[in-house]
Amino acid sequence: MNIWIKKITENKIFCLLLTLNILLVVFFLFAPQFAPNSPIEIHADHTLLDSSGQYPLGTDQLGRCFLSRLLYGGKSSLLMTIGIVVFISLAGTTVGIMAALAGGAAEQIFMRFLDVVLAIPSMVLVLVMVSIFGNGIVTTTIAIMSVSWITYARISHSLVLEFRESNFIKQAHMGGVRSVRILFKYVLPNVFPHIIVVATQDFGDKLLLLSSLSLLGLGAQPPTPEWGYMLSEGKQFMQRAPWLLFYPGFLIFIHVIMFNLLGDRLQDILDPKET
Amino acid sequence: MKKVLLCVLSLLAAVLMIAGCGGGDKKEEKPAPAKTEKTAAKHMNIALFWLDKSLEPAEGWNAWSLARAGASECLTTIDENMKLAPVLADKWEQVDPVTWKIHIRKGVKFSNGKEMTPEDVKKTIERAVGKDKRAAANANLDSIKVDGENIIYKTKAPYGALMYNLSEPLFTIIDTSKPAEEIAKTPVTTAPYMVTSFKSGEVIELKANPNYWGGKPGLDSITVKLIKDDNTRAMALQSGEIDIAQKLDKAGADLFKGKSEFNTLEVPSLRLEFAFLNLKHPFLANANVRKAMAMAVDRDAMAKLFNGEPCGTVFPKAAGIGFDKLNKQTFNLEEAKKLLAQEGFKDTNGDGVIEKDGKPFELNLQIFKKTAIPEALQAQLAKAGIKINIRQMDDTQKNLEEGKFDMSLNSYITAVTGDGQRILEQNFSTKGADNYGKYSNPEYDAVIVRLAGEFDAAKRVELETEAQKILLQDNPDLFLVSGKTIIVTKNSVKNLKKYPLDYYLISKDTTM
Repeated sequence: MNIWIKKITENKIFCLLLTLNILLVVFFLFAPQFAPNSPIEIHADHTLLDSSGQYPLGTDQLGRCFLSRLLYGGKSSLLMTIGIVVFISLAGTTVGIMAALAGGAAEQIFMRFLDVVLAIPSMVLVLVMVSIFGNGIVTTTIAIMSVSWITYARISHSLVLEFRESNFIKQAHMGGVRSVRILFKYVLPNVFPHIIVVATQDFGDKLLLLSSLSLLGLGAQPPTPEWGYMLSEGKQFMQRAPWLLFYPGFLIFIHVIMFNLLGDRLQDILDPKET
Repeated sequence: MKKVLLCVLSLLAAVLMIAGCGGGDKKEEKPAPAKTEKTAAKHMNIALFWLDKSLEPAEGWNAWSLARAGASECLTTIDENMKLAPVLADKWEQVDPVTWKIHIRKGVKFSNGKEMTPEDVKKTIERAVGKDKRAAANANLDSIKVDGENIIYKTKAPYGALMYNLSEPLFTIIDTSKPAEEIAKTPVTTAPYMVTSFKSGEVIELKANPNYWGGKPGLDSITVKLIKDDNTRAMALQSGEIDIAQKLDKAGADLFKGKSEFNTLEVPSLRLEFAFLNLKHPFLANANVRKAMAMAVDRDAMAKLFNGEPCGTVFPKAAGIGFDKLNKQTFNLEEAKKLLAQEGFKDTNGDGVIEKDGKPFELNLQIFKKTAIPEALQAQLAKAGIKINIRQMDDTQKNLEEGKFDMSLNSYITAVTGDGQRILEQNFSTKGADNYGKYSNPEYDAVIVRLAGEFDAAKRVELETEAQKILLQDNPDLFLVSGKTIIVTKNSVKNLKKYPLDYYLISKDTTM
């Protein structure tokens, strides 16, 4: 563990990226405190206004303060995405490790089942689930979680498999070390960094998926502000009020890029042989 | 370092791509653009918001596209002042309550040179009634006989709306001797313009009818194309690809404000935006609850957001059917809250939503098109403690027919043929085909029966006003706003009439 902490802190660029990412996430998690107006209150006389003192980034087609909507939208988008990524990485990893340690027929059947599900594009699976269980940010989040944990199960399973057959684990078994101890002292510390890398890189992917579903009208429902949904609202005003498209799109773009960069850097540090 | 550079480059590329997308849709090549000298050919390009898959007039709404292109003529028409006017029928009289004697104009030729006779009128109408349910309902036909220059039209029951209904493009008079496949592509009519080619659901090519009875049409040829997306239609006009963009929304119309090269025509439309209520819902079955909901809606604010006019009754002001005399649905939030409290609704758990008998007042509002209205309605009803969930779907029709809805937003042209009977009957009478909310009031049904048999135009308006009075007591629907039809044209386009009915556009005098 100490080795990694040393490696991480030595890498200046990584520290910078990590700080920036943390600042970005924390800012948007607390952003609603900075919002000048209500994000959902409609003002019929103030539609499609340019920036002004009262509305720093102007208003949308229903006269709602655009900046406030972006800030509240950020909080809900990021919270959902972080929640999804944390859940799927923990759940998927646990299941994958258990399958690997179980061994035998159970493991084989389970892994082949995962292969079948993975063969179907995740977007299609999510769309099917949403059409069965209905629209809304909650059902969409559950739908995304229920198909995305599988990737982590496969990764952790194959990582554990590597170690299971290695000599030092066999020796530890023969020396009488209990399985649980093997798990926590040897297996997890080797699986964990890989999972963190994948999860960090996956953050951008999940944010995009959530926003795409909201863009299609399946995720966030009105009047909830959410960046993907704001994009779908803004496209009809592309010429008249282009800021309605630009800002949500730009914010999604920045977050995805930042987390991808962070994940890449982390991968360079923790998994140099994988690059 | 490399990755940062890559990031910057991709950001730059993205910005350049977005900038590049700002141009018009230049995918299709146009025929030669119209020139301003009198001797050169006058060709006009029009973009409609809707085009059907077939031009068969006696089917669905196909003929509305023909009418917009100036290729449809019926016995009568509704002019730009919403008055019934003669076209192929130059006079008519009522012989008895079920018999009309209609004189067919002489000297009219079809575009193929054939003379248009009363026999053609008889064949067209019988054909339409046989082919289309709506035609059969609206023609109320018992029999037609030809009597010299007249037709003797017998209805099944006394039917005051007859001459109005026959103005609908559904009854476009055509040369019925042509085979069906040809009629579906290039129907032969008596109108100022004739269809020369049709690409299903995409483009209609027309040219001036050389045999037109009403004089020389103002243009030599027309191309009518479909551009569904409002934004794209606006951009096509900006790029010069089209001369007329029909039905732009407010955001599109704003792009042309103050630009002298363009002309904006704003016509108060007869379209009513309103929300059906399902009276089978336990809360909505209560008339006072519906009344309270109607009072919770701020139509003035909604009209501003929608770029329309507030309309707290069935017929917008432009229809001239009792608008100023009626006590319309009006905004009064305090009264609405009082009425709901009186009916036993309270917010017991402080979440902003009122409940009764343990059930929260939460409704699903289904919509098929995203406009400013659903969210405005949601926000306004929320102030009265009613929670609205917006459900957008491609087609709300199935749920309506199966009664699987709480509220459903719709947009109807209310006086489709200049007369109000159709919507009053089909939406609100007990057996009405579009009465999905299952509203039923025998007193109302009785008024509709009297209306059906009334022939005097002034008395019809009185009865239609009385019908609205009953509806405004029972509030089976929430009447919201009426729209404006916005048409933007290049300023070279001349003599485009402002029709409140949006299925009329090009007339004989339109030119450039």
